[in-house]
Amino acid sequence: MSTQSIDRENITARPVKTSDLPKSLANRPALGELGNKVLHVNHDNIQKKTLMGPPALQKQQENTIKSYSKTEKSTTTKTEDKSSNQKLKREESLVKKIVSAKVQAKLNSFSSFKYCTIEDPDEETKDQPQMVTEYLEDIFGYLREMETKFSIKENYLEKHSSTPKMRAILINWLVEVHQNFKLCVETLHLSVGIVDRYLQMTTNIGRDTLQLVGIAAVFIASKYEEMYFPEIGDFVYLCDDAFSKKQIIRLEIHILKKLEFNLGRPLPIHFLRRYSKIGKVSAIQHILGKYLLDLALVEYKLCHIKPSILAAAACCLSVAILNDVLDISKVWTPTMIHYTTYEYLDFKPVMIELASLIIKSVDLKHQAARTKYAAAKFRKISLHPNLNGQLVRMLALQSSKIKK
Amino acid sequence: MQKYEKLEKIGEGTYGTVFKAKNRESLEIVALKRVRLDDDDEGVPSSALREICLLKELKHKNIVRLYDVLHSDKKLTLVFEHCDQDLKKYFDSLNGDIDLDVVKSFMFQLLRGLAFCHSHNVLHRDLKPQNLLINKNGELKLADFGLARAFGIPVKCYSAEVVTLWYRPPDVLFGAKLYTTSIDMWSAGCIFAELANAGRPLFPGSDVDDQLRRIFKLLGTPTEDTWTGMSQLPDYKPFPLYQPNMSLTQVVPKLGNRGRDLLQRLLVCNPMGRLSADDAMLHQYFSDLNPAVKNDRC
Repeated sequence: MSTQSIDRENITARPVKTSDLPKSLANRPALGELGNKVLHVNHDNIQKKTLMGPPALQKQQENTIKSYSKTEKSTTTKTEDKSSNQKLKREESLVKKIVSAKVQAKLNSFSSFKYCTIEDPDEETKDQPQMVTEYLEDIFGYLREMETKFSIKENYLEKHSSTPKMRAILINWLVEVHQNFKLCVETLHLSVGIVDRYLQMTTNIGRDTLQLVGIAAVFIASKYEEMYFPEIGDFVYLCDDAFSKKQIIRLEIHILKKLEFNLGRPLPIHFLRRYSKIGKVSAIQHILGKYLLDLALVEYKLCHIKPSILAAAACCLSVAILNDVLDISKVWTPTMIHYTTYEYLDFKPVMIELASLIIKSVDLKHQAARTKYAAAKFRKISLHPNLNGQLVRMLALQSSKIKK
Repeated sequence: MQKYEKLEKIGEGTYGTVFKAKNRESLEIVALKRVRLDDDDEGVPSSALREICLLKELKHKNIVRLYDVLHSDKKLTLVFEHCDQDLKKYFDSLNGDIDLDVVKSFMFQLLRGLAFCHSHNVLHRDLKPQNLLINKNGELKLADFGLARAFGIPVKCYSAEVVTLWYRPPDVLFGAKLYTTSIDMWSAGCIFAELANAGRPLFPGSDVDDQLRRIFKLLGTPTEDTWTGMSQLPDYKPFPLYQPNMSLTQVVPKLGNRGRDLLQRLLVCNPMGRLSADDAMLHQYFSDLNPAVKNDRC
């Protein structure tokens, strides 16, 4: 599969006329009555497909996401000697440039093979302008600062009459909204971040206004992120006139003020793209990573996790799952540690949660992410047999043990 | 709006009117940008939303400071630091003569502000003299982020309807939607030449065709050899093969060799060949820059 789809997500994004929306979605009543009746995927069907055995696990190491762009063709082929020589030089300079003191310490401890274990993930794409190679380090350093600055607190719902279950219903609905408006994945992640950050700044938001918060969040996120965004009338139609334009507009400004107009909190997808590139993961592994991030959105227990940690967990787990690796820590190579500054143990607990989410997702009422990723466009990744394999079950078991 | 006393209208931004005003308590002079909000409208305009969100995070000496955002009944007021004039008005006051040290200082400050935007994943997308503010201390600040946006990596396709015609790069003129930090570097090049000529625009085209023709007549028409993928751009059309017959010496006679070299590295039709803001700041041209300007960090 061409990896182009990954960076072209919002090219076709056009505001969908409300009349084009499936009635089931457009005609959504207020939050209390949200259901998944029509968009719900038939479970039997999924099971059957799984049993029939989808295409065998493809070893796709060559088909990696080295490049997200059309210009990949221009990648030059160097002779072995030359490239390894250059690599060595590059690596030497890189080792000097290590950002994290923690990583530095770790590397020093096995310095004898540090030169052969860290690969430069940007060497091959440094001629591709859309990779913005020269500002990569600055930008990701900045994003890490921002995620700490705009963190989400654990258990913030305690101050509200809304429950984690209501949040799950809302976010699941937002996944459907994002899909039906053909919004890009950034907009979805941003919307959910806005909902969480707004709720943690306020009190006593209950069932009746929670959906309005969700709508206003998508409204704001679309304006910030999309090239073409849906009109306010589309949003009113979407919630079946449960809320008026006036209500959405008033809440929009209220949310923006509460968040002090800070929408620059980095998103898990920003980090996942980076990590997928560093790890040279295959296209399908990257898709699985994206699916795991979408699953995580709905899970209240994970909403306070830093986007960079969540992305590391999703990246590592998706590679382990599709490569049938049992010793997962091996997936997190020195190169990954170096560039992400995270060690395997930093995100292992989150990864275990993700695994348990995968198992839970099959019987969950909220199927939007699972349905989305069952499409051919996403290689039917949510139906992949490995998601029900030994590794995932083993990890999920650890999660239930922790709980006990 | 009790806190501020409106003094005079300064101009029109991408959205809303800009006023000069005085803080009644501190007596500080500020610039107020007003955005109307109507209940039957689309809420906060996306350009205002982006400008506020981006400027909240971009705190740098060479970027106009957004002090505050006030919300009252049916309007949003952005409170900016006030600068005496924009570069366009500054040019008008010059009578065709500019100090070359000023050119160097302004150009360096423009690049430094731009490098800060780019390293904080923001594209300005509307650089032009009207959007560069100048104060009495000779400081230059990037302003009007109404068309700016944050970008992810890899950069995705964004709107091709960006940048004022005269400062729009050839790739975007050909309809390219996949562009990156190089989009601002072309504009910076055009502004550099305009600075050196004390305000005479480099490529004052009347429409997209005329704009491209003017560019190619000066720099030579690019070919697939010099710019791979050019002919695949959405609005590509062939142009006569102009040779670069006019040298930059004629175009920017007052600029020395080093300045011309920098200009040449910015005005590259193929976006991949354009110098970055970071690299441009390291160019030889700035080796004799007034240290007071160079070391004046945010």
